Amino acid sequence: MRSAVTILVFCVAALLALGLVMLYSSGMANEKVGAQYLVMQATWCIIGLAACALAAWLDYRCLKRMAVPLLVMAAILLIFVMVLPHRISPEINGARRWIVLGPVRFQPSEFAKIALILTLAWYGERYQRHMSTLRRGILIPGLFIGLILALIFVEPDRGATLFLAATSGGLLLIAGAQWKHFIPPMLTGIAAFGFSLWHDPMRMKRILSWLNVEETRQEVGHQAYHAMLALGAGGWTGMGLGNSRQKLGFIPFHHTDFILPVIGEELGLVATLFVVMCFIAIIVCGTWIALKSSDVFGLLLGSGITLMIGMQAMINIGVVTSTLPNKGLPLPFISYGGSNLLTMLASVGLLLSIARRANLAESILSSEDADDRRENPFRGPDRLAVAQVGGIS
Amino acid sequence: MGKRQQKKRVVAMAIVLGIAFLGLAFRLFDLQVLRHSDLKVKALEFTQRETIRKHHRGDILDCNGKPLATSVIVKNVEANPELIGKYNEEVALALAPLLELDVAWLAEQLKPSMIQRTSGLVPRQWVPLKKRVPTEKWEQIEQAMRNLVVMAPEEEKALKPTEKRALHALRRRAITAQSDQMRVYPGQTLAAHLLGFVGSTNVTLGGKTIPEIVGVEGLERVLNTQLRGSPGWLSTERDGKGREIVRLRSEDVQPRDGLNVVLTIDSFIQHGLELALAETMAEYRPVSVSGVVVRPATGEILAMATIPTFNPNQPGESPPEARRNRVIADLIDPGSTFKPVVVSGALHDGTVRLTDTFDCEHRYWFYGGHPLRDTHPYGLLTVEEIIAKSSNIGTAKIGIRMGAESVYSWIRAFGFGSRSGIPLPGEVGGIVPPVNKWSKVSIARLPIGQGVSVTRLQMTMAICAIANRGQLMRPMLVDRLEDQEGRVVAEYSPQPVRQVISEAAARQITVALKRVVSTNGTASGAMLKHYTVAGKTGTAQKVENGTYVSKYLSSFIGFFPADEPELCIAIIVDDPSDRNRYYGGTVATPAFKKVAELCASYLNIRPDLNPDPGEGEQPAKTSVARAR
Repeated sequence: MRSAVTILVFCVAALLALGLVMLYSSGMANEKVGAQYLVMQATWCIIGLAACALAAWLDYRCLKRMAVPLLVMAAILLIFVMVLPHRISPEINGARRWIVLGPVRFQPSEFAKIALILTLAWYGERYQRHMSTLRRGILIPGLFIGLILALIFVEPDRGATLFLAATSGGLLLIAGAQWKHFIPPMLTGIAAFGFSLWHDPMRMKRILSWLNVEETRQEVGHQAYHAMLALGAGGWTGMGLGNSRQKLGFIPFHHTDFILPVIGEELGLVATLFVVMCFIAIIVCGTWIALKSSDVFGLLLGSGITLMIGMQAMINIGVVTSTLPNKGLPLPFISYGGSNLLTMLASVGLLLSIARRANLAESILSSEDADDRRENPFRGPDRLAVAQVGGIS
Repeated sequence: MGKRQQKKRVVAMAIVLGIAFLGLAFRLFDLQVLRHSDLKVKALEFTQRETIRKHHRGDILDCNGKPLATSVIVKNVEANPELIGKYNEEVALALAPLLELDVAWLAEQLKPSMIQRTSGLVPRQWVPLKKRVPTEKWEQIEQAMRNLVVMAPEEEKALKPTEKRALHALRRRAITAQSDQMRVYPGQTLAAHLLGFVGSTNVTLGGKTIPEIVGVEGLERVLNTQLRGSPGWLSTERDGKGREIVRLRSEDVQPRDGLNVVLTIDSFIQHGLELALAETMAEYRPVSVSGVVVRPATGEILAMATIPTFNPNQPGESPPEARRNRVIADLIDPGSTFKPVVVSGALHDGTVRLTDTFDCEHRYWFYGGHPLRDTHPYGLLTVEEIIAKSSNIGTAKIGIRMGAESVYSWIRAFGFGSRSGIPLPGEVGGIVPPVNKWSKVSIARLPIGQGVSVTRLQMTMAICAIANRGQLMRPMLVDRLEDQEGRVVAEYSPQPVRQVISEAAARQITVALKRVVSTNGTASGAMLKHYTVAGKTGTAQKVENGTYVSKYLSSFIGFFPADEPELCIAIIVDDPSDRNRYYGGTVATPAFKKVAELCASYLNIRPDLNPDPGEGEQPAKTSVARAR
């Protein structure tokens, strides 16, 4: 457990450091920005680390009680985004996703992510025995998941919707929902999403361009194509820090979603593989912590957070390598964006908190287990039998 | 559902994510390593910019700095049909009159179309419309495009932003032009054979093909290296907005303009000579007529012309024989103008003196079984008279007295049989048969200019050597090279080839040559009012297919003032078609006189004859000239 925590902290710290360095390199490309992004990100980073420490210090189990209020708050914030005057929630790049209060820009959907995961973890533990039923396993959680997703969808932020749907879906499965109950709503969701795509020529174009990036490089495929060029130009060791060409006006979002191609161009495959390895390590550590957690809430919360970080990183890397169609999701710990960084660091803090409790619980639990087995060798299989019965009913 | 089941699913999730990441890692490896070289080239295409910096080909100037050949900037007009879109007909209508092109053809060219490329079908973005459009015309075209009306102004205001932007692009960027330079000869045919002409070739510079002017003939060809200069280039990178990233400039080479070549040619004299030759051409309708004006003291060529001529602005419109510089490239049997060459050698050696007499056999003399004729029957003639009356028999006898070796070596000493070294392409050296190849009659033929093949220039330079106190000069055409700011880069000085005959011998032969240009000499037509002229006529029967035919090469080469020569002028008329008037003294002297008078007043040459007191105007002019 100690080594899992060490590796996790090391990987997150490494990604943060790389992110700040690359953000500075990225910002250099724009004379109006300069070090401004770096300062902003560093500030958010400090806030994020504080949140991380706080989350790690406090007992995650006390969040059980706060899960539902947090989710309600998230929903309210998401509604605020829609109804608040444009001065506070302006339209940026054709979408209203932010609440702007003075110098602080905050994205409620980021907060909603963590709130939803917390709620699902709480729900999964609270109704553990009923998760295999259609009503408790799919319909009720589906209701509040659907509410949050709908609110994010209308911002519009289709990428985040899709990502959050996948994450919460995964978490429901882990919590115990049955595949046979899970698949029909999933298919419906995919069909609905496909339908909405079909009626949105802009999104449709993006998808089609993904199928042939090179031919659409003049228009929608522009960014994806140049991201490919950037990665390709980098080679093994890259062109040297600060020497990216594609960040100079070819990749518009080189400091946010498309920062990995800049890393690849400047530092080469060595750096991009390092990033991938870090995320794999974070997933392994997160999974380990979840598995070793002392209770079901910890298991679900830990795996939910791991799933969130892993999925987001995977989609981002998939997009910038043109493996997936273009969807705007930041690369955790690296991309510029305060709300996301804060959410991610707070999540890591929760993982650490789970790991801390697991440390305490591990020895007690294992000895309890040993005692149990000695006293009643059939207790374990009994539990399993109960679970199986529950699963079938 | 038990915790164990949940843990299984967590592990499954982790494995799925892990596999996905391994897949992405492979994708990164594929992009960054396997496709590295391919993508790197494509990436560079977006940023790398090679700009060619145009250079200017040097001008060819006459001795007064007037341009004989110059380069002007012109535009090669091109279009991007993709930006023109559906407005191709409107654009064609606006541009056709300016470009002097057919509207229908232009509209067809401007129509957007697709072309096959390695990457598939792509819209055509480049169509050449017209080459070498003057810059003023190009400005009009730009203006016309900017003010292009494709719809009513109200309609245009109602357009969507994207359509407005497209319209702006159409007006500003659809029609573009590349700068190019074009060679222009402002004097049209003036000095055409000297200047030559240019062609264009493509040179590759850093992977780019650029058109380059290259000299094909004449001075343009010989001095191509000095004239051409070299283009500069800028190898740099740009960002997504097309702005240069200065810190990534890898190569920055300034263009070097070509040097200006300043000739010894004086365009005024050149023009006068060409005019006189043209008049001769009109009057006698010969095959060709050529003329050279040289300063004997330095060998500077002030004018050199041949008719038929051509216009170097459109060299292709004239036949090759018109483009040939006959003065240096054609071989002739010089005839009587050659006589002073051998005789002056005899005078130098002391083989004969001017006062020695020879029996000229009253017109017919058989030597070596062949008859030798004079045009008039002469008895005893002094050497001076032999030259003055141009007696073939007398000259042959002088040659015989000198001996074959001596005749041969004097001919070679005057520069025959070797190139004069004028900086023009295509010069030939001529043929002087060596003594061991001579036939029996050669010793009698060569001194009268038969059986040797020389160029017109060699003949002129040989007479110049006599005028220049016996010193043969190398003909000089280029005075200096200057850069574009007029600073002298290289200056050429007169080059003596050798002292052929002694000054005394030269003076003696000049006495005889002065007799030629006198009232009872063969070139009385060449006499000038204010100057004594020395010279020699020539009427050489032409050889065609080994036999003499009744075609003549009539020439006169003279210099003046005879004792202190300033100019030597040669006029050579090839085959005057008038069967009665073909003597050099008749055909060539009028042109000589015209050019000589023109030059004398233009160059303010000091007269050496007392002006006729009957004319009031002349003494004043003379005194002015003297004062100078």
